[in-house]
Amino acid sequence: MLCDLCKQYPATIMIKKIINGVQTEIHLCEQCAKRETISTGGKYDLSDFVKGVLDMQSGIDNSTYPQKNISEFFAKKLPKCPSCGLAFSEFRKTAKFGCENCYSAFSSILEPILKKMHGKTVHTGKIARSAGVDIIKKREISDIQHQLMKAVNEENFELAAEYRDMIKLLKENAGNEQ
Amino acid sequence: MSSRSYINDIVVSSRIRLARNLVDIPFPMKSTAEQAEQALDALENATGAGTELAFEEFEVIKVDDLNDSARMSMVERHIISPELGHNKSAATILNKDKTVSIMVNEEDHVRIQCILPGFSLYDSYAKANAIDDALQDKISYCFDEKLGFLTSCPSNLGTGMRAGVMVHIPALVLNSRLSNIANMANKFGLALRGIYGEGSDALGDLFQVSNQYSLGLTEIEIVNHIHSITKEIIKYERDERNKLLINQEDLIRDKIQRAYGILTNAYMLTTKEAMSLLSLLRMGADLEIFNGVDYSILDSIIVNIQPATLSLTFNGKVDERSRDIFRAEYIQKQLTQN
Ligand SMILES: [Zn+2]
Ligand SMILES: [Zn+2]
Repeated sequence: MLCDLCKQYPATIMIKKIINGVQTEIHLCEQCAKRETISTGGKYDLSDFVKGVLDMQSGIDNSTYPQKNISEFFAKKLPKCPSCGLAFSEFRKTAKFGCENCYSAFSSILEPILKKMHGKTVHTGKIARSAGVDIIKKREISDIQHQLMKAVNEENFELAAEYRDMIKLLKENAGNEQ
Repeated sequence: MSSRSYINDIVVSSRIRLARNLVDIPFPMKSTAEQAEQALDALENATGAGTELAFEEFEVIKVDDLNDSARMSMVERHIISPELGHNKSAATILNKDKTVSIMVNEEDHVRIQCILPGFSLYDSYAKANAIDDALQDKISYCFDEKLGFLTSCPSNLGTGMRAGVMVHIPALVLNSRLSNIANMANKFGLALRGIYGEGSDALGDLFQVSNQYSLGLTEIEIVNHIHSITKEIIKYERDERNKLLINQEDLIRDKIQRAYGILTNAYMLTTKEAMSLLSLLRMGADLEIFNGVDYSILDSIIVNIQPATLSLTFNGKVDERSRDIFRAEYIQKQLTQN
């Protein structure tokens, strides 16, 4: 069989693709297959991804969840989001949440999804002003603590002392305000 | 050196997008018409007269007020995303020089996008970040200490940031080295994707390198990753261009001069053909085989010949064939006018 795309080289790889909701198989040569995975790289269908992660969980926990798959199990067990009314089955279908409270309503299934999606589960970046002064200060202090540790490791004690003073000052300020 | 780093022959543009949501209003997919309008009002207020952002002279453009071609043209020019526009209060708040587009009521309430020409990812981040700060004078974002900025899709969670550069890499494509680059990017949590056209038809050898992960990294770490991978890509592309010159200079020179010949003489040009010929010219300019037309002119031609943008230039609906004729006319004029 010749490659479906270039029609020049023998097809050695079969790729399943979802086009307009219909699954189709295409047969490609190695070159075209490489190009195809590049162009679709990262643009995978997120809802399939979420379903996959959730269903995969069921394989591991078969004894606890005898159901066919965990997302079906959760679809029955998890209540709708109390704020926006999003049902878990909706999230499973669209991979999208309806409001900020969905994150707490569905927190029990979030961890494996985040792990698979980002490799990590905890935010380390910018802090919103709405988070409040305490969290912003806490983060500021922990950031400087990191710098301090780095300075000590590099035996830059002068800099380390400066960081120590900064932390002391920040902690005192935080105390005064309370 | 400094002028060259701005208008770069390999990095066409640098883009930052921050996804944010307003507290106390459901995300757009679950908000009512009034709530969506409320979100838009809040953003108008936060960017208008009397705010720190007044100097940007933002203009609110509702997607609902645009006809199909005008909306599609904004998509082609990367001012708005294809997804913006399924709801009545979907809008872009666009600054005067069109480098900043704040999309309202897309998948999230707020998507701050900043695109700058050339390899200027740090500048682009600084600008988007400053706007994000200024908006918070007037509005409050959904935020969780552990999860960061809360977005409708968990794939944008955390920083809410997507950063990317548009690269023009014809020599890597010509020498079939694309998969090497894609693998390298993947290892660093980045994705390589065609800009125009889908599947294996990445038109004009233009690709975007962007981050896949938004959670668990700081904004600067993400920008640093893309910056260093892009530097590698520039190096590889230069190597491949040099190889082309050393091994097959005559062939390349012939290809590029033929491209110029067709672009300045053809009566009809499809987007696809024009894009691949313009790609050759763009590379030819760098290899000093083709002189006389600036990168900025070539880049504006590439944007202006896309179907919707082109039919706007020629005043509304035209069939495909007349569009191909207009396209050829337009390109000829642009390339020969100086
Ligand atoms: Zn093939
Ligand atoms: Zn909800």
